[in-house]
Amino acid sequence: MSSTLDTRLPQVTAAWAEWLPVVAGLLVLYVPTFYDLATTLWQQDEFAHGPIILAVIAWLIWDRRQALFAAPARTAPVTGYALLVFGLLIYAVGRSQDIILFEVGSLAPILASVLLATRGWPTIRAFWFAILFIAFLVPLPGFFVDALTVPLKNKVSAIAEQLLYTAGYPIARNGVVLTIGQYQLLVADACSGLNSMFSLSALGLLYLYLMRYKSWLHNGLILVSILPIAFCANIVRVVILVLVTYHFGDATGQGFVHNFAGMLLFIIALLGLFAFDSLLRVAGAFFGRGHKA
Amino acid sequence: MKFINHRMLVIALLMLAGAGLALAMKPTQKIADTREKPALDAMIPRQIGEWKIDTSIVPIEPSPEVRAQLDKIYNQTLSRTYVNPAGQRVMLSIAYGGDQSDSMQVHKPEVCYAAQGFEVFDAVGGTLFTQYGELPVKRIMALQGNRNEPITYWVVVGDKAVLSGMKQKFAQLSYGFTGKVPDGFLVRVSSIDRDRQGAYQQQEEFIKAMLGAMSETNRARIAGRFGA
Repeated sequence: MSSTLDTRLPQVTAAWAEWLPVVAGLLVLYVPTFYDLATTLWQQDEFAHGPIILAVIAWLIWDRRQALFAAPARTAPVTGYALLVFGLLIYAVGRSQDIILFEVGSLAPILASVLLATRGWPTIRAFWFAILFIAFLVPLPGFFVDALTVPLKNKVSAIAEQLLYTAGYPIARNGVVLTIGQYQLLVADACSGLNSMFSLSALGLLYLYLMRYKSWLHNGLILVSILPIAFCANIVRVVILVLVTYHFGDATGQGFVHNFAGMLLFIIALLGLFAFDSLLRVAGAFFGRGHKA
Repeated sequence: MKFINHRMLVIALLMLAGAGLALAMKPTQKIADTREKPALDAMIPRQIGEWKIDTSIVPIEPSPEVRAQLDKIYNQTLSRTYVNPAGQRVMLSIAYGGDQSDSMQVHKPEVCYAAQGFEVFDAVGGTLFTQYGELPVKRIMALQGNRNEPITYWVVVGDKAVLSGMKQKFAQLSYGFTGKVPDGFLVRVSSIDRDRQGAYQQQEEFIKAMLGAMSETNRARIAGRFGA
């Protein structure tokens, strides 16, 4: 029997070395993809969350890396290979024909297939959230954005107008153009809050995953509250911008404050989410059911 | 623990094959190489019905930096303003992309105007009934300060006029899967006008007059083959 130090080190290296071919394969497939994204799409404001999502996915996998070295259990080679071939076909079509949805989305079936074929179903359980999170790496399809943007921003402008009118401000609305005092403000497409809803959904899910609540009711309530909270936070943002413009002038409303309000939206939404979560916990404790895991 | 796992090797080989397949499927044959290069300046008549060229207003274009990035061999743009005897003006802007239709994105009004500080909104797809057939057009509003600019535009992928967006992507794919890269046009007509519907009406008249004043071959390239 050799000493523990002598055997453990080569074992760890061997465990990693085993994964080398797969890691190499993934790099060959996706380094060009993410390089292209970094130089094009991710440079736009609407998709600036891309690299952060990718980093989160990498961290989620790293966090559970022990599962990669677990002994294989209930492997499904046939299903795994079939899923892999399917994923690779999607990838090939997406990469060659410039369909980002396919090119990036293919990562989910490919990762799942590798785990299935080599380590089995238990690892899928360990990595299910990382695989699910890939959905947020995929840009929302254009037709979806087009269909939702206009109704959303109409709603946002209507509610902002109502709120400010009730508060006694001289405000009027014509479509998506708000007139307050001497100023005319156009509620732009970006003000629809669609993109913030998308990134906040990602954050909300991540929060739920990290909190690991056992109660389905608790999880479910937070899940359905994410979008309404994001929507309300966006209205607060628009109202603040209108007020800043009214009190401090057009230049202020369009400058630094405009960007800052975007940040504020995130903070408000996250605080809203935490507040709602605390409320649920208090309610849970009050009714004598431990919601916390 | 084994140093080499056979399943992992198989997976890696399959992945390499997938990457290779993607490379092999990449369309390379440029349609633009198989036909005459368009001379935009000569293709569009200088006099269209009662409309004449007016040099006092220059239409909005992608910024010089963006244009410099575009492949100079294949791409061309034409910007003109026409004026009628009543003093009404329409701006015409045509972009031709020969290498890949995706590079036409920068000429899309949604991108091009927004990059110049315009608010771009209310994009609506519609149909323009010309004397030759139906033309799928997108109508959109651009706004900067007091400048209200209703825009009508369409894109041609290969031989077919399509609605910008999904339909355009599908048209591109139908070429792409056969290994071909289609060339494409983006034709944009706009006017500075507070009366949106009136402006769209006038743009429609102008477009019809322009198509009528062109030769059949040129028309087929600018507006696609009708009924194709």
